Formats: sequence, C-alpha cells, structure tokens
Amino acid sequence: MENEPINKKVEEALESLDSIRRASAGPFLFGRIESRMKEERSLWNRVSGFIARPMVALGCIFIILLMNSMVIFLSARAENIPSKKTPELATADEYSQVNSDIYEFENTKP
Amino acid sequence: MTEPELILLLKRKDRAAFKQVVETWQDMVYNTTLSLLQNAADAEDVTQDTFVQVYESIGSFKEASRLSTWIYRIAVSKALDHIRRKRRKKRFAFLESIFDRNDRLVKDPPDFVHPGIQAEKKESARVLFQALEKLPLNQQSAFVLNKVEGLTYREVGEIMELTESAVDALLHRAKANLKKILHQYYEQSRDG
Repeated sequence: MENEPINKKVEEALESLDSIRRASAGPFLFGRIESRMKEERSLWNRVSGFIARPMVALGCIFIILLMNSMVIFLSARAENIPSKKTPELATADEYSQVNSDIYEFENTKP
Repeated sequence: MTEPELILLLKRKDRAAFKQVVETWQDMVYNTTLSLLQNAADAEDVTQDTFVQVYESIGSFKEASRLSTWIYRIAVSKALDHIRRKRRKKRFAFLESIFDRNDRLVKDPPDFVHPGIQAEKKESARVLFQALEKLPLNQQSAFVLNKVEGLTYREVGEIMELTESAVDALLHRAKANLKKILHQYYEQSRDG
C-alpha cells in the first residue's frame, strides 16, 4: 500500500518515452562536417596524427633508447682500448727526441 | 537512387552522394547519440565524427548489412567511446583538481531533457534518463535503440551484433535495473 504511489511513478517514468519524437540535428550539419574534414586534412594535423599513433610513438622511443645504449656501449669500449701512442711518447721523452729542423734553430733567436 | 548505387558513389568519394547520406541519416545519428550522451554539444560532435568515419571507411563496408545499420553501429560505438572517455576524466577529476591551480572539475551537465518528449512527461523522462546513465553501456545502447529509436529486437541485434534472444535478455535486464534505480530514487525523494 505504501509503495503504490512509488510504483505508479516508476511505471510513469518507464512509459515516458512511449511517444517520443526524434531530435533533429539542426541545419548546416553537412557544411560543418565538410569544414571539419578540410581541417583534419591539413598537413600539420596529419603529421601530428601520425606521430601520435601509439606504434609510431613507441617506435621513436625505442630508436632513441637504442641510440643512447649504443653511444654508452661504444664509449665504454673506447675507454678499455689502450692507447697506441703512449709507448711511443714515453720513448720520445726518455731519449729526449725532439723533432726539430734547421729552420726552428734559426727562428728561435730573435 | 538505390542504396547500392549510393554506396558505389560514396566509395568513389562523390560529394553529392556523401551529402545525401548525411541528410538522410543525420537525425537518426543525432537522436541516438543525444539519447546516449545526454548532452547536445557532445551529440553534435559525435554525429560529425560518425559521418567523417562513414566517408573515410566506406571502402571497408562489405554490404553484408544495410547502410543505415552500419551507420548506427559506428554512431553507437563512437558514443560509447565518448562516455568511456568522460567517465575516465571524471575518475581522475579529483586528482586533476589537486594539481590544477584553477581548481577545474569535470562537472555533470544540468539535468537532461530530451527535446522530443511531450511536455507533460518531461519530469518523468528526466528521472528516467538519469537512471539510464547508471546502467551498463550495452544495456543503455539496447534500451535507447529500442525505446528511443523505436527499432525492433532484430534491428537492435543487427546493430549490436547479437541474436534476438540476447537482445531480449539484455532489455529485460535493463528494465529490471531501471525499475530498481527508479524505486530507490523515488523512495529517497519521498524520505528526504
């Protein structure tokens, strides 16, 4: 008995769509769609759309990470290779080898 | 012009054919998206999106169903995507408001009243649309297509890619859930 008015309201709500009319999209929709399509076809939109694709974005991140790791790997390897010039320089220092020629002697004196 | 001719011209990107498609089905798409989204601006946006998609994807249309069924399918799927995006935004609105200096929050729009409702039924319809928002998305779609668009179970099934019996079950659950939600609403408004 207590629920009777509520049941009635519920039924009324459920039946409220029975004679509903279709809503209209309004005029000039086609024109708006066309201008939207032109806008979307612009170069910048296409470029940003391409970059924003998940596969492209992930690919770019992967390439950057790969390049970074290559640089780190190569620089670490370069540090481990002993320099070939070191013994030669040591020998040159030990025997006081100085590459000089006759012109240098002439030029040293003012 | 017959439908196969229209589809052929549309596949050739004929402007006049596209215009005819938009003008023939714009109210059908707008009415469906408006009833699902309950917001005129969002419905207009999704309607435009739907027709852009129709124009761009017509090449992949296999003609296994009618063109209107295919357009309905795109419209419903776009509207549901929009609802999901909005729900996600709402979920993170609190977090955003913490970091946002302007304290912007994703607010619910004012109560929706469908423009095609008779004046004397507006209040009951407002409550029904509020309750409709609380249903799972597939139940919402089936209910809107059947009750607002007036489609048969078979047509709803073609759009949602379900059998007639599955649509029947879905609508049965939707009505039972709506009854429950409406009961709670009217009980609360009586008590408070």
